[in-house]
Amino acid sequence: MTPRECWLTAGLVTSGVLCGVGALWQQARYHDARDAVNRYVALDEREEKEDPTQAALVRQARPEIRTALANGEFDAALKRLRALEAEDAEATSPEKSGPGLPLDQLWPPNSPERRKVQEVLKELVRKQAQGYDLAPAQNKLVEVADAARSGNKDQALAAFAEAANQVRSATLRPGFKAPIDPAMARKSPATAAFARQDEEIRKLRAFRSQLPQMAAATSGRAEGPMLERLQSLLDEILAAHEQKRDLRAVLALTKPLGPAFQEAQKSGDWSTLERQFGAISAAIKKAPAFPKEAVKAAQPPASETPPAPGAAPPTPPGGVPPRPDPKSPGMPSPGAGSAENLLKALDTIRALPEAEYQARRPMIAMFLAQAAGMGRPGGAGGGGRRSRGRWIPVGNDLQLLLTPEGGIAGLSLLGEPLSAGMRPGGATLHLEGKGVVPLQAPLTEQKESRFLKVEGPEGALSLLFSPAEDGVSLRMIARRTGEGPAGSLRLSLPIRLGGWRWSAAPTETADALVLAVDAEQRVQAAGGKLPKIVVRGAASALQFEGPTAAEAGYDGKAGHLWVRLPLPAGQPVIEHTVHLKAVKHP
Amino acid sequence: MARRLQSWARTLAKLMLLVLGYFWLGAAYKLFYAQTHDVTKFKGRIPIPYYQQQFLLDALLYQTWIFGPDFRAFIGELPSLGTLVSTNTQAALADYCRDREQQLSALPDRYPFSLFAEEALEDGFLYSQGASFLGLVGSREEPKWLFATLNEKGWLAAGVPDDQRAAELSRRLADEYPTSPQAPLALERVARAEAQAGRRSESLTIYRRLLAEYPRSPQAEEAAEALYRAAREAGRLQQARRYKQRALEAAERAARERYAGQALPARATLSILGFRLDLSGLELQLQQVGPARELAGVAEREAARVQAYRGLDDEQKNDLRERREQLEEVRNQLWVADLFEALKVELPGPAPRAREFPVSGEVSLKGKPLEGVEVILSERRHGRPGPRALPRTLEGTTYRGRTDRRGRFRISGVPAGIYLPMVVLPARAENAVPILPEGMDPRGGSGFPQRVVVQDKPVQLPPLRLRTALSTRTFGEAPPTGEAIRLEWERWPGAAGYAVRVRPVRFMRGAFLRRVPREKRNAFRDDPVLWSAEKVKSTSVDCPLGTLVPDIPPQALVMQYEYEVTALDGKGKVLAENSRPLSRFFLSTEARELMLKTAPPPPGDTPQRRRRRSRREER
Repeated sequence: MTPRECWLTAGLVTSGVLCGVGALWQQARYHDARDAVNRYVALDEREEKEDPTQAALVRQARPEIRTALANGEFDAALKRLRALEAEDAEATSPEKSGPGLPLDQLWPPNSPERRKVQEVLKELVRKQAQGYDLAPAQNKLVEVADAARSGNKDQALAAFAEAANQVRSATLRPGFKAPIDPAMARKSPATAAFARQDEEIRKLRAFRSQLPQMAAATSGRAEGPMLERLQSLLDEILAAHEQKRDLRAVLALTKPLGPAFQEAQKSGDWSTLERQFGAISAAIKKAPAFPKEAVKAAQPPASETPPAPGAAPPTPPGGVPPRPDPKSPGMPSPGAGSAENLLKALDTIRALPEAEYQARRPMIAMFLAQAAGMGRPGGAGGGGRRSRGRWIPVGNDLQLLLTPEGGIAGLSLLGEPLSAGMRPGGATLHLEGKGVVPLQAPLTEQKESRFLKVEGPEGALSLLFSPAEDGVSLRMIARRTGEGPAGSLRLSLPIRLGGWRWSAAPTETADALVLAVDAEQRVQAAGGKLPKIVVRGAASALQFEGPTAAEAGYDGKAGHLWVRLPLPAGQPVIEHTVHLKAVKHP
Repeated sequence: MARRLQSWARTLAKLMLLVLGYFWLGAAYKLFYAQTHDVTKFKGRIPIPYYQQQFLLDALLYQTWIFGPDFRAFIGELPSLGTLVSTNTQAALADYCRDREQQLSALPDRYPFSLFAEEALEDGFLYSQGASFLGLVGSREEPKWLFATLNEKGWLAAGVPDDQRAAELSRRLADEYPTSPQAPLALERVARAEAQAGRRSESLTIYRRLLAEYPRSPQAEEAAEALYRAAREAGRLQQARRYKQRALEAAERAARERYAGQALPARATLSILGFRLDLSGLELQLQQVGPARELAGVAEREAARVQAYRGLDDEQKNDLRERREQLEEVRNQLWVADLFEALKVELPGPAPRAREFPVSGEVSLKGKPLEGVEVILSERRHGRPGPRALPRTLEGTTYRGRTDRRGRFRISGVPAGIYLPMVVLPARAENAVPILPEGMDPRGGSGFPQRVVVQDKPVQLPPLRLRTALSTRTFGEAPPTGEAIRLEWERWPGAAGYAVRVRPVRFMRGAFLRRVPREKRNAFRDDPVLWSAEKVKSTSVDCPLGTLVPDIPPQALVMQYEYEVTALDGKGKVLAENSRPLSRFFLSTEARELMLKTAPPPPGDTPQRRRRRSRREER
């Protein structure tokens, strides 16, 4: 080869190599771009096809990738695309909370219930704009959603009833004033006055319902008789309102009762309070009647719903009785106000002397249990945590639904709910000379059973709800550590038995009686033993056995199946067991 | 023989050089890496600086000299183990932290061209904070400021850690080294310090600066979050939403840059998920159902992806559980929004903001106006914060006012509501006499309200009266006097006698429970008096060492005590009392050794246990 040929060959080889390298470079340079663009286009197409939730990650990543492509940063775009693919591949399908209930199934279209719901929601919006504290109601609505999304219709409806009640009884936030209702303003002054009085009386009524509990807890103290007098005074006011009398002057006199009560608790001088009671009593007697037209015009629309069971009662006017002094036995209702009330109550508990705290533990437990169920953090936009399901089920074929405070919210037989929309029942203690005290304490879990224990100066009382064969057994053990009067424990189960056949006899073959809707039945122990009670429905029957019980019965008006367990005096340990069984018809 | 010895010596020297060479090479590599990379991401949960962690062995082998005196000063020396186990641990650590802080803060001036100046200031901040906290907890430094809260029993006062020096170091770092990777963190710390000191607008300005100047730093996320909180508190929801969006973007950007081309790991995803859910809730409040639903959709996919991971640790599992609950909450809220829409009812927007009113009052010391006292109105509902939580509490309070020369304060723009009053006051007056709010004794009746209720008009608070307290002389390390500790104080005019009580400090009362019967432990927890003396005529008293022994005697090494002195007149009426945060002490080494020698057997020491112990000793 001549040198010229050598140079030529070398040149050709070099050119060939350079071309190859150039081609490879081009490939490497633009492969990323092509790959990125192809993938982006595929992504675009996928987003159009997939449902919005599935494509959420894609939609989120799209702007970022597009910006990278537009800036010529193909490597960055590819990296983001690869990350997206990895993230998308690892995600499983979103978990569903349950079968879910469509709205129409909860409140059928064009039904009065649906209109009622609409009214409540409108009222919520209106009141919130006016400065009312609607956070508890909004939390309840979230509970409605939770129950509906889990497919639990009863629970959703009950939660909505509570929400409606909370909307109605919402209190104004600090710094806001109740607006004058324009509709009411157009009406006569007497009409507006009656409407306002009605509102005040509603609060008083809720407060009145708590007084027996407070009075029972203060028996033997100076406050006790005063609370009893307050009860009778409130009864007088409520009766006068029923007679449509103008109680504006009376209600004005009740306002200073709160501070006066507090003052009397501190000083021990109850004479001022007694004088005020006398003045109120006299004012009630003098109260004139409202004009009939004013009463008629002020009547609320027919869509009023009764307060839901367990709903928070509103604060009474004047706050009567006010926050108790450490020396005083009264306990503010946890539902009666905001978290501030709860804080005040906790301050009070902290300040109690040890002996007094021990004596009042059961009441404090009940109060805290109520407070625990009162309100949960969260609400619209809130990020609070909330437990699922409000009621605690015990049993299978026959299932009791217990409230976290130990009440009995309902009963279902072979999967059929028998207590829908009814007031909860539970245990109440009836002691001679001490009135009626509802037994409430936080439920404790023991394997499949639930346990409730209440302690007091005279001893302890425990109630165990445990699943048994075909049903549920309720075991009550009372231990007396001190002297105390005789009494009884009444257990009430909310149940609708109208149309069912009732038989209570030593043998099941006895004649069965068809129960009317408002029937009342009572069976007493004969020969120291309560006969077995069987209530037969169309497809199933409920069997009730409590041989040591004193009596049992059914109160159709209240919708309660009840049993009374005796607590004789002087017996250190008392034990009763009640069996509830589900029987399926062959 | 000599030759053999020489050979051994040579071999050993080579071996030593080999070992040292290994360390030198390793040290050189670590230093090179640290200087060329951002090492801020290596910070663990325990705030030990990067260099201290990496050069621990080098420091132990005294090999830090190889990178020059500035590096040696920067790494410093470890605290002496002997000191830590012979003197009170908190006090020894406080001393160490303070020394290191001084050493590190002086480094940039001493070595102006040092490579470690930024890191020195950064580490100096950590040591300074540690020194303030440990100094307060370990009774090494008297608190300059007291934080007082009011409850039914009267005022309760506690010392406030002094973080001013730490804040100053951060300010230096942010101003002098703005390009340093530590600068955004330093700036964030300055913003926090400003918020703690009650200068809210300055704090927000710094957060805005952080967001504008360092948008790609992890601190941008925190800055956006702080600005979001401020906007939300002010009722500006739209602005709050924008800041939350920026926080989300900052978190996402930081995570994407850090894990480029990879699926985000669980921790980063969970953090982003939280922002997304918060934003979704916020959108719902602003009646923006569509964006809220979209955010919830993305969150749901992300949560499902994290759940698919196998190796989540417990903390991540808890985080995930919380996020899922939050997600369920958002889903429920969306259901409620659908309910409103289906029933043709307009969605309720954000609740109207309560009207704002000023709250004012005055502070006086013995009837004369006192300047510089800060009155804080807090929406906090959980009682008194502890020393660790205190800076965060102060940072989170918006409504604060400081007294002027006339002793008057005014807190403007307080929305109607219920607030807890808190006070930050100087621990000593100008003449170095300790001061306290009136009503420190139980049921003393301070006249100041426990709750401030702002309704529909400006609120004028009753005057906050301060008074001088009895001055005590025993503070910090207490040497023995015989078999006792001498507690001394200044004479109070007109006092016929003094009552003295010694207690463990609040967070150490659990160490003395066994000396009390089980049924009385609750009462002891409330008032854990270890020793008391009534009707002391002189201005000192000897507290026997035997009464100060904790249930587990070796715990005396970390124990801190406080004493209360009450001056009484001839009829037993209380004339004055001391300031307890200024009357704390711990036992000196000699006192502790003496106490352990004379200590009675620990309670609950049964004959069986004693036998078992003697058998163990025999063996």
